[in-house]
Amino acid sequence: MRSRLKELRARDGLNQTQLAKKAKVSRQTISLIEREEYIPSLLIAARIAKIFSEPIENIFFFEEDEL
Amino acid sequence: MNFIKQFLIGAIGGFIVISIYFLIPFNNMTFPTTTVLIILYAIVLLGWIFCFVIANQIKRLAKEDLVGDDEDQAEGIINKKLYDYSFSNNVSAIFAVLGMSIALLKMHNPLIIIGVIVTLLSYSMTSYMMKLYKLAYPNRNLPDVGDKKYAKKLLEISDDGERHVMLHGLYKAYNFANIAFVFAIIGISFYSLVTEDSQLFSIIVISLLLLMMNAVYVFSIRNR
Repeated sequence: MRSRLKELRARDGLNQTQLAKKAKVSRQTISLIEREEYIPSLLIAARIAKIFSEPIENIFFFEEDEL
Repeated sequence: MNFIKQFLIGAIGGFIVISIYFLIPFNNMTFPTTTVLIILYAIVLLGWIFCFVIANQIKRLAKEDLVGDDEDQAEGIINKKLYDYSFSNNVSAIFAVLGMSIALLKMHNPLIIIGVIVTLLSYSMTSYMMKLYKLAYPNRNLPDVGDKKYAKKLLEISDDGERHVMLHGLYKAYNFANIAFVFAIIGISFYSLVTEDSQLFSIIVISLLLLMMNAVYVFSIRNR
C-alpha cells in the first residue's frame, strides 16, 4: 500500500511527531506507514484523513494485485 | 528454504560443539572460577557503563527543544537508545545471575555476596529504564514498574504500529527459542554422555520451559 502522507505533511507543515500527536498514535507508527511497512487500521486511516481534510482513498492507495 | 538453512546452521553448529568436546579434555580440566567471575563481572560493569552513557544521551536529547525534521530524528534516536539501554541492562542482568550461580556452586563465599549485590543492582536498573521512558515520553500514561499488571498495561498503551513492530520481534524470538531450547537439550545430553556427569535435571527443566512457552503461546491465541 502506498500513501501520500509525506506529501500531505509537507503541504500542511507538519512533522511526523506533530501528525502523530494529532492522530493519537506514536511517531513510529507514522514512520512505518510512510515507509510502507505497515498498513494502518481503519480508525487510524480515518483520523489521518480527517486531519488532512481529505477522503481516505485520496491518501492511501492499493495496487491492483493487493485487492 | 528456510528450514534447509536452519538445518544446515544446526548441523554446522552441532559439528563444532562435538569437535570441541572431543578435542578438549573436560574431565581433566579445573574450572578457573575466579577468572571466569572476573570476566563475567567485567561484562556486567561494561553493560552498566553503556546504560549510563545511553541514559545521559537520552536525557540530553529529551531536553532539546527541536522542531521539524530534527524533532522527528531526535525522537527516532531516543526510541533506539531506549532499546539499546534495555538490551545492555538485560545482558548485564543475565551475566550477573550467571556469575552469582557460578560463585554459589563453587562456594567462593565473598564472591557469592558480590554476585547477589551485582544481580540486585542489575535488576534495579530496570526500574530506572521506566524513568527514562517517562522522561522521553512525558505525555504517555506509562504504568508503574511495581504494577501487578505492568506487562499487560504496557501492551495496552502501545498503539497499532508499535504492536506490529513488537509482534515481528517477539515472533522471531519465539521461533529462535523453540529451536535453541531443542539444541540446548541435545547439547546437554551429549555433555552428560561424554563427561558421565548427568545433567538430567537441566534437561527436564529446559524441556518443561519449552513445553510451558509453547502452551502459553498457543493458549494465548487459540481462545481469541
